[in-house]
Amino acid sequence: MKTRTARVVLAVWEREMYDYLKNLHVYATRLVVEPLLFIFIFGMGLGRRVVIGDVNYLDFMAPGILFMVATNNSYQTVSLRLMIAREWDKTLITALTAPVKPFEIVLGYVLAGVVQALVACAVFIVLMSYIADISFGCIPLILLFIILTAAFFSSLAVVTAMWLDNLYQQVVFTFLVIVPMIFFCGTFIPITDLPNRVQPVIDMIPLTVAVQAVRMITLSIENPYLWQNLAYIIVCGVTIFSVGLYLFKRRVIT
Amino acid sequence: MIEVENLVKKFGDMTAVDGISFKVGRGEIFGFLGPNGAGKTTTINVLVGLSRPSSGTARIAGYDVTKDPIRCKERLGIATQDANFDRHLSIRDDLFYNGLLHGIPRRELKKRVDSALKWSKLEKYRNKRFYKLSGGMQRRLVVARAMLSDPEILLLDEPTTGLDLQSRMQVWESIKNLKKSGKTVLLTTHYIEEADVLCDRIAIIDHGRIVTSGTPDELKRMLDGNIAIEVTLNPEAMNEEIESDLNRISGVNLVEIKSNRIKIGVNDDTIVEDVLKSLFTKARVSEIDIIRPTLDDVILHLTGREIR
Repeated sequence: MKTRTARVVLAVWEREMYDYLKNLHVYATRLVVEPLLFIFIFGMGLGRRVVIGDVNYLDFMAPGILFMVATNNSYQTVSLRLMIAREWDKTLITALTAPVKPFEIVLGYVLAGVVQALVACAVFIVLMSYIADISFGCIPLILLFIILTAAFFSSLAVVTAMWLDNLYQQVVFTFLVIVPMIFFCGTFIPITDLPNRVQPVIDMIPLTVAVQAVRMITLSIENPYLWQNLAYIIVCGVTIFSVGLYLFKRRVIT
Repeated sequence: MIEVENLVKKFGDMTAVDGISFKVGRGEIFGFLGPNGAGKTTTINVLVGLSRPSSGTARIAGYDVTKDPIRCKERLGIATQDANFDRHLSIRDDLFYNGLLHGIPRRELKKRVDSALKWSKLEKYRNKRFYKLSGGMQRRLVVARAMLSDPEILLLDEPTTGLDLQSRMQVWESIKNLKKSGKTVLLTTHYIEEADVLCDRIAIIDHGRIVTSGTPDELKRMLDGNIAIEVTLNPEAMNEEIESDLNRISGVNLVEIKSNRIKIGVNDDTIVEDVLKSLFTKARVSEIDIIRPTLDDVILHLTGREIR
């Protein structure tokens, strides 16, 4: 990567992280408190009475909630910040008048989404280890899945922020697409409990692949398709990033 | 520094810029004067890479804006029409992060941000968000941000629109200082007086076409034949002989008498003296007004309607 490109990507990333850290108290409420509520109510409350296969529900659910944290942190912050920068503050215009390329701006936002997701997931893992005594197993491999999944959802955030016309549409999209995706991609219930016709579609979503792969890691189940799973998420991420970049150029450069 | 040739920009069926050509030399302030929707901002957007030209070429310091946008933008600073700042950041932070995008080293950037705030007289508002500032302060901040990277060329898109007189004068002073420091400036405006006071050369643009261009004086001279002399005479001195004497002067194209006031139209500046001499020999003159064409008159003459 050229020095100038790296410098621009890091400049965009730094600005987004500065905003994130300055408003951490606001983000923390939504992004850490919400998953903890799920854990307390469904996992530690209801979950003590439920067993899936021979697995305790809390142990089953923890990887799903972890990826809910990754998805929320990457998708929601990037889509909101980009939509505001495009439609409201119009700071994307200012950024593009600097000697930068659209690719560099988009990559900066995606990188910020990934790091924000990593921070939130790290906090979640530590909290869960202390509160619920959950062991996540091979942390570096889990972090790799988190990075790739967060990159996918940050890129998806670029797509929606450039494709949709306003914040209202974005709220509807989140409610109709992202929230169900989080609920049905193996987070709270096994995919096999879903209707047969829906299962192939759910299986194709990178979030499902990541949740199932990480669940196998945390439950110490051998996964013969581990590298294929990683490769699949990478391919999906690169594809959705390219779509996001295309839409970014089409929306901002007339 | 800026060369534009046969530039066309279409949005679907609508032609925003219709084959314009112009050049701006180093250290020059070039004004784009025209009504709203004339194509001024679209041209600026093409120069900064926010709009792709449908046809034609635009070059910045010899580099093609479509083939080499980074090299072009390295030489440009733009003050956009809107005050587009990040509402979550203080103005100091916004300038800082904008400077980072321009690749200014951090230590140097901190100094430049301080200078920009000083230049725009906003030092004491450094920790405020932009929307807490008045319109005039916001405009000055936009110009200051454009200068942060110390660019060779500044594109100022309607820098004083919506400002009160005092703020407008401050921005004008800033633009004059830019010229003194050797910057090349492309200024768009729909304020005729602004173009007249600030620009070395002006292009009048309407419906995406350059109607004419030249120095403010050259443009005004386009209507040289329309100098009017209005004279008030001592009432007893009025007689028919004065009217016939004036009509005999070559170059006088109008003599209109209302009570003791005479309006004389002449073709040329040199005839003004002959007219006045003729009047002074015949009567006591109590008041003289010489009315020369303004840029407003030129625009009305060229576009056929008041600027919108």
